[in-house]
Amino acid sequence: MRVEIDIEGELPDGRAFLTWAPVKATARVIDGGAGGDVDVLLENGGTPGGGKVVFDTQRRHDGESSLRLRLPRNGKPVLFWVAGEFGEPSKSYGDAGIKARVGGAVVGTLPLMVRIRKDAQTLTPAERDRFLVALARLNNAGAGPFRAFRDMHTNLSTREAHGGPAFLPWHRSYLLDLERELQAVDPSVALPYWRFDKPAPNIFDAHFLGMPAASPTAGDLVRFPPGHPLEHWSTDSFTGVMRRPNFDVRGAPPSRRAGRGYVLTEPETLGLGPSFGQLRAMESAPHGPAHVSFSGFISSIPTAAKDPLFFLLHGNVDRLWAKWQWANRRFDTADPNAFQAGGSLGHRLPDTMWPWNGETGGQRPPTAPGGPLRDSPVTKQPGPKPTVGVMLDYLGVRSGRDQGFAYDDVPFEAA
Amino acid sequence: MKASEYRRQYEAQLNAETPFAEGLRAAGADVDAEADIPSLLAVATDAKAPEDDRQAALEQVHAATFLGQAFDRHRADYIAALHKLVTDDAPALRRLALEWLSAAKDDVAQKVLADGLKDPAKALVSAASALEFLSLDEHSAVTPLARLVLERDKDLEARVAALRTLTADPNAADLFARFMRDKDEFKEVRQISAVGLQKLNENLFQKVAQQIAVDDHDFDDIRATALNGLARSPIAEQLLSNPAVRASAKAIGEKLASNAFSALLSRIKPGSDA
Amino acid sequence: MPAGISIDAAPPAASLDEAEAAIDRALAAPDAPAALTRLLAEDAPLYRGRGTAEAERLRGRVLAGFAKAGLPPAALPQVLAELETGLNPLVVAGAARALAGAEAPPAEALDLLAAAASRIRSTDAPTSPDLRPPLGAVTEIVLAMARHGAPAVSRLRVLRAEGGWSAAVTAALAQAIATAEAAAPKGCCGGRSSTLPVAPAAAPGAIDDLPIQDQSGAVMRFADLFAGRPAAIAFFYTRCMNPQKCSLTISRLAAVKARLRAAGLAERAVVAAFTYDPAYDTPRQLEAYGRDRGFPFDAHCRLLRTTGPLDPLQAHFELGVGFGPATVNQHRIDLAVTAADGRIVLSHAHRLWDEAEVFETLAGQIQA
Repeated sequence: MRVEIDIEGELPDGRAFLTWAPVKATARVIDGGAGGDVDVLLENGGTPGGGKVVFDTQRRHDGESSLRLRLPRNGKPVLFWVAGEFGEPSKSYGDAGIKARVGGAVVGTLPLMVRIRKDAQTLTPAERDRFLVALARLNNAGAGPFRAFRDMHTNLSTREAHGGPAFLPWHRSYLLDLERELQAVDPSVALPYWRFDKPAPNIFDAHFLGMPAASPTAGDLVRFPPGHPLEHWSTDSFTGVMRRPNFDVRGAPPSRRAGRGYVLTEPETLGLGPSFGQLRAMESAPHGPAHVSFSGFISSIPTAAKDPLFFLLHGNVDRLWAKWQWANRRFDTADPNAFQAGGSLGHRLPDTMWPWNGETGGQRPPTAPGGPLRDSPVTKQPGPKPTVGVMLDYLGVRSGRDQGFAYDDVPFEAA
Repeated sequence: MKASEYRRQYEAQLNAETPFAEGLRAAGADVDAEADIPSLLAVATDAKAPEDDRQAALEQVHAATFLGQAFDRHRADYIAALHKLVTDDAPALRRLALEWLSAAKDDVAQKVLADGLKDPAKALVSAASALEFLSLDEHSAVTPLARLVLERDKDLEARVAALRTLTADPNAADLFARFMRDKDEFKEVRQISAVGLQKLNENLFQKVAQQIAVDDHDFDDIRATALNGLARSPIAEQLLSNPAVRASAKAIGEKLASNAFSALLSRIKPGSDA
Repeated sequence: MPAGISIDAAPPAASLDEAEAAIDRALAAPDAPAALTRLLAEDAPLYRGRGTAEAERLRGRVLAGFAKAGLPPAALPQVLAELETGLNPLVVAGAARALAGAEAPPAEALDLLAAAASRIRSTDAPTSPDLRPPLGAVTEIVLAMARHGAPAVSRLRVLRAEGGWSAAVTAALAQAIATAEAAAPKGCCGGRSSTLPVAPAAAPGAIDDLPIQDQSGAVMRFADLFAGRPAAIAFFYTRCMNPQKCSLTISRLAAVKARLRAAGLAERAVVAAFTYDPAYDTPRQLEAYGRDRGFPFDAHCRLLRTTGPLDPLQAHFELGVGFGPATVNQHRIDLAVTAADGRIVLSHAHRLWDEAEVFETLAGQIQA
């Protein structure tokens, strides 16, 4: 007799990925023979130091690390909920798992991954390299699908993504699109973030996103060592990344500059206020200053998306919004404090967003690179042409359906 | 950890900090930089103000450009201020002004940079910086200037920048191949040439890279770059199934002890999807 | 042996002073309107070998010159095209000023001016100081709109309502609205300007033997692909920085193909585009560019380059394109529809072309 465990959103090859948001799962008996129901204990089956999961019979937060189920011998599946245990993400595929025991004997296992967006400063070398290799494949020295991501973020699309309430939802969608493309190359990859209010010397290291030569007169070209995945990075006729820090990378960029807020700390950012109208000011600070804390591609809108750091920077911007949402419980589009009404086209809750909606001409830009939002085997959300509003509840706190990503320090907490 | 416990901890942490707006006001600072752009620009262009204050002010204004259309009302004044700073005495301010104007494809900045490359006595930034700034516009007519620098300058950084710039010139492939093969050249020069060559002429790159990859008398660095490029070429599997190439990749990978390179090696296994 | 044009063959640019002097000479010439019109050609010696930003500053000056010299009808399509798709504020401002030299600016210019103001607002820059104290490009556009008198009022109000303008532009808008309201109604103006009259000098069959290559790498003669079928042929290059031009051209060409398919005519015509930049735009580049824009590659639908220099193609289709040292520096929108025997039956230049018109011309040729 065996117990087979299935998780909603498994890949065609059977691999399963979880975040902090509970997803549906089933357990059923195979070759049960005759007799009454079987008492099954579900528990963590990963490797030591790996990811952990929690179980529940409903979609709630704070599940338990084991669950008893009674399964009928005829193989009828029994529903339960499973989620990554907050604070215990995976480091590689299969270091987390579910084990089913009957009377102490293991009768079923399902390896999986608690796949979480992490602080890039804390990545293991293996995690870092998987991300870089996937990113390099996507770029393919300028010939790969990354082209579209670079083309989405230019002067002509400024209005769609900046200076209005949809700044945060648009970039959340942009990152999710990129992350899913990375996962199509390597499903074990999640987008890491640059926690810009803390020192991040591991990121600005030759093995990760690199540094230019020491003297400013040498130019801003980042020096990737031979064999580095990004050695062939290219986003136009030229190669490489131009980036030079305007601060000492052993520390963090300053939170004040010219007597005004600059790269604000996380508490300061969340302290902007409990309404979205107040939080929006984060586009001015810390977001803008984070871009300008380096010279080079990342420091101007038309060139920023040519530097991979852009996506780590915006990962943190999105995480800050997610953290604020969780702290203030702002996932409900009907809550006037969860968003700010009165924006222009593309900045209102029911508006679909360019470029994923394919709309061109008129008030939209002339072309729409990249097509619809990349789908994911793990979830059907948020759909190929997401609206501004659907991007708020990314963990499915209210909707019951998550979008397949979560941050290492922002938990799932049901409404 | 339980979410409810985490919430308790986090809220305690937030409450321990003075609310942001209060903290700034206590420091006598303004909350909203964007409202104050004219005065920040005045500080930035004031030659008598301390340089760090000027740079801080300029960075604040440039940070505000990320608001997109909300910055439009200041755009013309900002460009005018940057034009002023191009010839400023402070090198850091000149560099920032020239870079940010170049990112906006400003032809005044491009002319200044080009003049400085043609006549070093007029240069306002290093040749490497000038070439890089001009490369922010693919249509900036920078390639003849890159050739000029390559012929004239002995400075390694300038030559590397010049070679990087020549990737935009389809006629540069043979030049790249020559430098890539040259064992007497600096490793940075060979590396940038290899990367550029693969972009311009994949077939020629494959030819040169294969020779270098299996040459035990050549340097590890260039062999690593060659292998890295071969591994992402359209016929990677075929190339990497060559025993000599595979053996080199293993040897180099072990010497480099780099995770990323071992990821590369893992693609050499037969049947792997390169 | 790398394929394509040797761009090094383009002579190095004349000095900027010489270029400015050439414009001054045109302005002072007795037939200034004609002289300036000649300087508008994208491959004029004035622009050769220059970077785009520098070439466009010169172009802006040439355009602005029409204000004093008078704007001849031959130059009007180019002026309107710059308003329709131009991204460089100096060029757009020059085009706006040029309209002052027209006897009766066409009504459609008003819509184009308003759209241009929105398009360049985020890259507004001070315009050339040589003719009057420097204004911003958006201000120049506003002034040009005001010259249309009463019909401009509502569009100026819409622009003002967009908000976020600088103090100078806000003042200019207020002034323009007042001026336009007070103006006497102008005489009625023309409708949409027509495309250039069809008078191509090229003999059909002249480039039959031209060797070309498609996005899959297949090499063939021009006639191998085009002989015996009508064709819509557009021109583009993958490094084009203006999405209103090349990117949109390829997307729209894909739409023409879709219409042919829907009408059951897909096999009866060729839909293709040639790159201006054959040395850089390798088959792999062409394929990626088309794929990104949903270009439906098939036997009669391809992206192409010449395997040798571009010149024969450029001459045959009278393309409006100029070159810097390594790539195109300026180009206009160009599209031709050819009959089955190779005659050019529609030659569209400058303005955005209409999918329906191109499809109908093709369909007409198929049925002929």
